[in-house]
Amino acid sequence: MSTQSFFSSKEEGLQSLSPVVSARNLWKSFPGVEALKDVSLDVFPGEIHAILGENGAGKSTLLKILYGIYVPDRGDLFFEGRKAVITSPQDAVKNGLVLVSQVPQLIDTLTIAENLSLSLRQFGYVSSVKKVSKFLLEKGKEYGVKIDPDIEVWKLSYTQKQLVEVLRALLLNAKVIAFDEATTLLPHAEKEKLYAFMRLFKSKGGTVLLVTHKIPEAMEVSDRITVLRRGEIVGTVKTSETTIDQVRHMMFGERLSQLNSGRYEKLSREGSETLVVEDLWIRSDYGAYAVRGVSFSVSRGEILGIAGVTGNGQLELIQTLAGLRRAEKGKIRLRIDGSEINITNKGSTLIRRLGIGYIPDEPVKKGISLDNTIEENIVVHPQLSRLLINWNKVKNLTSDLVREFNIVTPSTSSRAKVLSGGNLMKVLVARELTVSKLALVAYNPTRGLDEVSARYVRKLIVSKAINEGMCAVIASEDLDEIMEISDVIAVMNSGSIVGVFRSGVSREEIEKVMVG
Amino acid sequence: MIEEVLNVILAMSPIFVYLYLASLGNSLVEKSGILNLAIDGAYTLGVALVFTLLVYVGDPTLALLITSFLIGLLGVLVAFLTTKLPISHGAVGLSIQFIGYGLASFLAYPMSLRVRAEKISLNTYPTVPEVVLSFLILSLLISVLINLLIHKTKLGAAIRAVGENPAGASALGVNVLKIRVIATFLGYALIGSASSLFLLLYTKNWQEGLGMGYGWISFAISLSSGRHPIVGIATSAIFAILIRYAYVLQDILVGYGINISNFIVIALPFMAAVLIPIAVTAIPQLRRRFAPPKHLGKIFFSEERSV
Amino acid sequence: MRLIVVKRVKTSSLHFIGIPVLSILIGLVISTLIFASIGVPPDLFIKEIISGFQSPQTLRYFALLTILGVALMMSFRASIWNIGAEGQMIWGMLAGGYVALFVAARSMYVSPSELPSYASMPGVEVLDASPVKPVISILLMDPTLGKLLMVLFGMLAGGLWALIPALLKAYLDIDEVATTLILNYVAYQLFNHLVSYNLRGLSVQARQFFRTDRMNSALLFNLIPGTSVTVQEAVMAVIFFVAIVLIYRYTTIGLRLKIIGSNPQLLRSVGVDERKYILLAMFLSGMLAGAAGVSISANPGIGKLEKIANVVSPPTMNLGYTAILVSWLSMLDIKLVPIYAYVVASLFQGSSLLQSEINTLLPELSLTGAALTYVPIGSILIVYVVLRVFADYSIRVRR
Repeated sequence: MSTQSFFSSKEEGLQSLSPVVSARNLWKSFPGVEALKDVSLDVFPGEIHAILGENGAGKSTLLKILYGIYVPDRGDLFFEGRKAVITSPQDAVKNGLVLVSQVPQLIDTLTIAENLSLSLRQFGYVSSVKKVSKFLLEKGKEYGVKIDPDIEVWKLSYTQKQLVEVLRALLLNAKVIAFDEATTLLPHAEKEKLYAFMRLFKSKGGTVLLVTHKIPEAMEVSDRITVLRRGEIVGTVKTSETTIDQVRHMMFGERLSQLNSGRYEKLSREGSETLVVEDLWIRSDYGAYAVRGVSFSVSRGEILGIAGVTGNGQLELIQTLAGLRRAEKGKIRLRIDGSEINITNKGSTLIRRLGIGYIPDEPVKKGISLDNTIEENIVVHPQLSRLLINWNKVKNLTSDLVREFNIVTPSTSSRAKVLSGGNLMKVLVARELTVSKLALVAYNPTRGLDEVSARYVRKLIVSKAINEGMCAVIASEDLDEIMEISDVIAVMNSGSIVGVFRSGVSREEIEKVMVG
Repeated sequence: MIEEVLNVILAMSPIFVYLYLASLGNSLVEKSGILNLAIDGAYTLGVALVFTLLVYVGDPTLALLITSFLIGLLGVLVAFLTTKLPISHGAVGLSIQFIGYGLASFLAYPMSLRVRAEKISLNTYPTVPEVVLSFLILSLLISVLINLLIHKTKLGAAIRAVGENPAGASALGVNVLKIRVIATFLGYALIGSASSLFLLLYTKNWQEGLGMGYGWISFAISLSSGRHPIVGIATSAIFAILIRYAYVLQDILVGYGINISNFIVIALPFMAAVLIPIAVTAIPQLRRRFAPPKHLGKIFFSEERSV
Repeated sequence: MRLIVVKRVKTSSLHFIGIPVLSILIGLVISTLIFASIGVPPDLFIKEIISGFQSPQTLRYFALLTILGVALMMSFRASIWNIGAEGQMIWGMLAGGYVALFVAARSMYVSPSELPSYASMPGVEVLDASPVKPVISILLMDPTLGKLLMVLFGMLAGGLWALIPALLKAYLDIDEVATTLILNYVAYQLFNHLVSYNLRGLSVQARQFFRTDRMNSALLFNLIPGTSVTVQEAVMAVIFFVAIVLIYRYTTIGLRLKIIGSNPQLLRSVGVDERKYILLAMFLSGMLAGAAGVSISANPGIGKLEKIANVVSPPTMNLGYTAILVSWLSMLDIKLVPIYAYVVASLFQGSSLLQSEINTLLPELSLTGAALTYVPIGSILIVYVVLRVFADYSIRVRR
């Protein structure tokens, strides 16, 4: 498939305008991976431009170059026709581009006013924060937004933090606001509000760059879509003139056939209850209760998916099930072969020994040691090693896993740091799925993985459940994933389970309880 | 009664000043995210510098100011190394500590021989109430100012932001290096002035190794007070009283039949420097309030940076 | 034109060797310049440094620094900065000294008339032949057993002293650099207290100065002829070195000690209590340092414990800090420790040779031992710390 550009110069209204942002022949590579190859792009004023691609396609890299977080190996950037050298976010902001990312770039321990004061150039360093506070209150009224500038950011919900970021972009007089997967974690209603804001911004002459990997979103809100695949631009189309299938074809090319979409065929399990959770109360790091009286049970071979907007207690729940966080009240019990074991607050060592695998949040930070080799990262698991290490056995096991999971690495004794993010995740998942005999507890198990690998992991989890009777509790921010693999879906909201659904439920129903 | 209290205050003020100012400086540096392990080297060097300068310039205040400035520059070096390069803060700190020790002996030892040989009298500050109290009040004023700076101004917000999340601060538009340079220059200048006063107001003379360990005591004070300027006043006061009245304590204990040697007396402030942080950290509420900045000592380096 | 720091894909072995070597060379150049500024002739400086490499005294420091280098490696690889080796050595000295002076042997007063008959008994040694209150030392057990006990107790004491900051770090997350360092100062003073009171000797010299009696010579370590290093030191160096290399390579415990250095959270998430490994790493580190401490005081050249006059020059000769240099220059690869132990030992010996030369030839220059050790150590360290960046990162120029 050639990388023919679909860009037509006959687009109404846009031809007469010059681009507000342009990239020409951008190249960028990181150790072990070529992230961008000869990427050129034009973004015109007054449009909502979606940059679409699967994980690892290079969209985030492109945006970070535009925002000055990365410097391209080759290539140039132009803002309103003039060549611009952007080496820091401040440069980008000076040129009118502000980024709103998926993870709010705000300092938790500071107040909103303190955070925003750092961006507002009109206030000198010796000015008091109180002045900024007052300014924000006025501006808030102007934009019709109610905020308390003196509240500490850690107290805000995810949606509110995003709102602050958007406010910041407006206060900086942004001409272009770029959203880096910023809507992925928002529930439907909030997403719609954000789309409405984008349209409003556009009507006032602003431009929106929307980076996403969700096709429906790109189709819904954008004017034009540029598709990236494996670091290269596949093409740019006008949204009104294209279809979902065409865009999907552009995104995946020949690998389309490897993706068998749809739900997995699951047999309804009549297995015995394996994991029983009773009235768990768990505190968050900040001291408040993150989990309030959660109870559920998972049977042998059953997959329980925990859905919910980020920050409603799913993370704390998963960490407690893995033995890494204390439950203040409640019990967690395992039923194996007729006997019952209480594993509440008994520590992670016992839980691992019982054959429960764990895929943590922040996998690279918590699940892999970059300075050690892949072999060492596998054998570090207590279930995979004895007092003395037999390196031959380890090598063989690691080679098998590398082959099975398609991990791209120079050798099994390479240091983990040479692997790309996706491959690191695969090492971790490979290790954990190997040791999960009884159960798997996971948070975002396929985050950051490219589509093929993500599907492989999901397939493996499901097959282990069916064939080996492994039960699983999977929390994911990706509702599609939850719907794909779960037998039962529990929705968490503000620390409690507000809805339990079996397969066959519609997406809307789930989302209703997520935000309700 | 009032007179006794005043006497105690006068007696412990020099010690308070040379401990508190250094801990305040340390707090400022660490709030910007730099783990300040070079503090003892800077302190020892400061004592040696002020001694050497004192012989040359004769005026204690001038010697104090120059020393503070020079030690401030040392801080700027630390800021550069830890921010521009993906370098371990601990490694930088320890290296500078050793250089500081070495340079201190190197500079001041020959000078001390000369002072002894030529019977030069050192023009240090006279330990009279006016002088001592002025420095005490000055320290308290600086404390209030720095506290206002950190908690009420944009610069303070920037310093704290850099310590908690330099990447986020950078994304918000903060020049991390600039902020750290400001924080470390001010912080180290305070350390420099504290070490100067250690000699000018307290020991009045120099011998090899003078000051070693006192940087660490200030470090411990800063740590135990959660790096808060005002809380640091209380902690420093505790240490000052301990150091000042240790011999009195010794006499009291002798009365009870417990003999603690002079060596133990010397070791007391160091033992406190370990025990008090333990006490503070062991209490969960205090631990949370006094928690270090999240990014303290962590290397600030994204995938790539511009040098 | 801008300079960009970029992470490397592979670390080349060139850097592995080049960085330490370059650090030493540049650090020495810097030291030469610093000393030249007050009149130390550079050629004298270089000459004495080179003599250091050839001096038989160096072997002693070589053995000690190997032991200490391995000791520090145990904690550094676990990302724990054990700067408290000085204090751990001191406690090793104290425990070993205690065994030598009160367990494996005892000193006691005898009357002047009984002295000759005691002196001829086996296992008895005259410590103080003064006519008023002579003192003898009686050996109470087999000397080899005695020496072994000295080492074991020294190791235990060092390990326990290291456990204090380890517990603070593991359970209270208190930074270990400050605690280990401050505890050094506490150790020095406790040493002084114990030596001056509880362990104080009986002989005239001991009563006059603040020190213990001389240890019974049967319990002293045995010098290798022609050098100042003892057999026991050499043997310990070899045993510890080999043992730790094997532990790291072939045991799970060793692997976990390595991983705790790169990512303790990983250990936690696979169900290993990383806090226990923090304790283990520090305990082992302290144990080896304690062994080095015993070694120093049991050397026939010293043979006793004496009050520390100035903390700038303790009986441990600041080797606890010098050993940091050895560990770092080895780029945390334990197999390289002996090499850099030898290099640093030579530099150390070179600087003391330099000091004696200056005292004779150029007495008007006043340089203390501290200056002569700390300036080169510090210079090499700071250069190393900067160059070290290049092992993992390269600087590229962007137009």
